[in-house]
Amino acid sequence: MKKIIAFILSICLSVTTRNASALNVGDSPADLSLKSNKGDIIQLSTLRGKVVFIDFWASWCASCAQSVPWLDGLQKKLGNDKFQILAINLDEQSEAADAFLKKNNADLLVAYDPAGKTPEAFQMKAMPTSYLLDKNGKIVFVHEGFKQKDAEEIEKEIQKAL
Amino acid sequence: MRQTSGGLMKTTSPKALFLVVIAGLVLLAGCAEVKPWQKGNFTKPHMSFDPEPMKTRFAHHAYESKEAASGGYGISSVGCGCK
Repeated sequence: MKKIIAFILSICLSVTTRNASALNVGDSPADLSLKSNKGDIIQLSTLRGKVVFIDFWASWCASCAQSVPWLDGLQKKLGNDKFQILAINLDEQSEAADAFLKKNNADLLVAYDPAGKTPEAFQMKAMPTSYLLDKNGKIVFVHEGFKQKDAEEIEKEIQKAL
Repeated sequence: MRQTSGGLMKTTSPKALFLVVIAGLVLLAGCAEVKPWQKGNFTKPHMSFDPEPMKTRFAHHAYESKEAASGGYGISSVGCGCK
């Protein structure tokens, strides 16, 4: 009887225990390969040498309605010679993302991940979450959620990485 | 349940309690974690308590007409109630 109980408990624990840990400052995310809104396949490795700002967003996310237009303005302000924003969309239907971008008049580099494999690899904890990668592809700053008052802090971190 | 001199008294054997705990743990393991990027599913119409609000409103309208009374469905209204 005791053996059976121990077996059942071990199954319960193995199912409920999370073993993966979230990517954080100092980590280097694995390369990704996603379809972009420019029609090609985007890979993180091709952006090496630039400061990359990865932002996970979705059209249904209320905070993203604030962050995406702000990011669009930031990309235009800083240019894309040394800095690239990669907005990874997590909508199940990419049409919803395109409609959102059109509505907000945003012209960002967007990668579509409807299956959510990338946030799974990053072990992302909130929507939206952004990761700032330095020129060597190492995470130097992580930001969860978005409010207008966060914009100044994020921009400061980007300027520091540049 | 066990009949005692003082009346009915609830008794639970340790074995039964243990089985309930184990069953609870097994059911708990079946709970799915909703990832942040999956929460868009909660915004879909079929996830709301009333997936067809227009249809419900129409049904209430027909009901109110037949019963000659309104309200009672969270609709705030005032009056004599003699409609």
